[in-house]
Amino acid sequence: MNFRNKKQQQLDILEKLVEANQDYLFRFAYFRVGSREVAEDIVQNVFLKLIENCIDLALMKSPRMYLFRMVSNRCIDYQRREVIHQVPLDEVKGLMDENEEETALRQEYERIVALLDDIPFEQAEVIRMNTIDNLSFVEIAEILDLSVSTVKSRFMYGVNKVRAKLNGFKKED
Amino acid sequence: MEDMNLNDLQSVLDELKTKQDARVSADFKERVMQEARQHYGVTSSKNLRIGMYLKWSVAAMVALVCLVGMLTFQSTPLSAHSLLEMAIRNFKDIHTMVMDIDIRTRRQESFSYVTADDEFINHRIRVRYDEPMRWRVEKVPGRIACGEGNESCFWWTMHKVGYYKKGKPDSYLGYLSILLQPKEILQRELDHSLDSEGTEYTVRNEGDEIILTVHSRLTEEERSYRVLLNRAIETSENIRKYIFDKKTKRLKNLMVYMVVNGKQIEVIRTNRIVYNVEIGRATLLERPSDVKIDSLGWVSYPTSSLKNTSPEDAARMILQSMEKWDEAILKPVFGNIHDVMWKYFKGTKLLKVGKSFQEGSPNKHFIPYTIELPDGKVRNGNIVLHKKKDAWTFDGGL
Repeated sequence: MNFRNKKQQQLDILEKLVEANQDYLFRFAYFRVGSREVAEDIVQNVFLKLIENCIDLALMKSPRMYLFRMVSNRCIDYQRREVIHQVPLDEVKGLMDENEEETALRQEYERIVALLDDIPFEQAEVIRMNTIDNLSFVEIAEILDLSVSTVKSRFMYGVNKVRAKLNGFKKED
Repeated sequence: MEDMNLNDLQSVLDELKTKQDARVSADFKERVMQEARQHYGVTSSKNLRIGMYLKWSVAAMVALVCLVGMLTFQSTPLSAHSLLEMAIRNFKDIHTMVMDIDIRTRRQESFSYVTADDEFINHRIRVRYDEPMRWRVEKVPGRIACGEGNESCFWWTMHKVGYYKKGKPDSYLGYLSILLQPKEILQRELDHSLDSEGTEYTVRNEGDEIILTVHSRLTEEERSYRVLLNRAIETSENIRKYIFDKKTKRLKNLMVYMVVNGKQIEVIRTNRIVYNVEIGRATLLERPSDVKIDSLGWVSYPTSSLKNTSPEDAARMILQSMEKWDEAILKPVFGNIHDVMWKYFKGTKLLKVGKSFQEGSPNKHFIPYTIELPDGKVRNGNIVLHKKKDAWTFDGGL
């Protein structure tokens, strides 16, 4: 295959990958970083890294799982950095200017964060992957490199804690 | 775990589902494709055309180099990517592992300290990949860390004391805890290979082995947040070498080299990695006979009086207090090993404290020191202090 055809093949495959995965990956990132701008940046960079790093897309066996794993790593990196970084003023302003749909999405993010706030990270992550990202236990096991039974037990432990928390809320009400 | 009926479960799951659809902006795909086309020096997605003026641009040259690499890489026996994928898959049937590994470090340093300047110290790692994983690392001589699931122990045989605390392997091993799971090392390499500016991969066959060499030149930022073994060593430029069995594609050995002033210095090397050998569950958590069970305590870091000081000042205060043994300072710092430390170090004179550096975790500081021990011997080392709630506590290095 000549360079020109190879480039076209890469672009065609990338386009299909973007079409098929963009919303799933965005949702995954959004419910971890809580910002549309940051989530889209993370997902865009992950797609572009495939091209920039000369990965032969035609040879990738399960690109979807790779993409999730890469987005997950970048969200964790972002969260670590955010612990020490201040929120820029223009980002705060951006929040104030957002439209109704965006506000609803952010409130939904905050609701989920509050529900999973004091659940151990490993359990909360499995819950988010299953309930928000609609990933199966087998897919989660592949992304997190765990056995399916570990994923299931983390899920059940986490869900139990969420239930206890919800019951606590109800009693308080 | 409490029992939960199906209705309960469903109502919790309903709460956890998002009521709001999250979709990318309408122009997201076009933005990505535009960037991708620019990278290839292409002006339109459907009608691929290399612009005349772009022929000579840096972007086009970079793209060309990438493509040549991509096309020619397939002619090698295996790409780094495929090799790592296969090796990771092969861990599915592995239930136990024994790794004999040499690390350049000091006997008295914590497990996560690696340096180019010291001699190799042998470590033996044994792991059962049960659920939960049970493990033991013996740093010869005298330092043993072991654990299961979310509990870890540290046996300090030289001082005949033991620690026990709730915490995963990295509680005592720091970043070297990744050595317990070679599969995880390879997985991180695989992930990194998708996102690896400034890293070179070479794969070559040699007899019955396949050798993967990864040469990293990481930026400081990448070093802080990313790759595995880099974080435990002092330089950002390093070479990691993985040796696989050609037939089984299993990892047989690994080495890490620091590149200091252009010179490669081997700092980590395995002597052997063997899998699926019989390891008794009980032997992994075995307590050395000379460590008395009553010396064991739940180690929660004692509240230290050393607050709001620099790591150098905290180290100076601790080391200076040893000469006359100021209990008010040293008891909270040493916690349940205070009496042992008193026995060995009372009368120690501080000669020098150097500039601190960080390794292993953001809260862990190594402060170089020179002390004169009560028997007159001069010792150089790095005292390790851990910062918790603004207070400094002792974490090793004496």
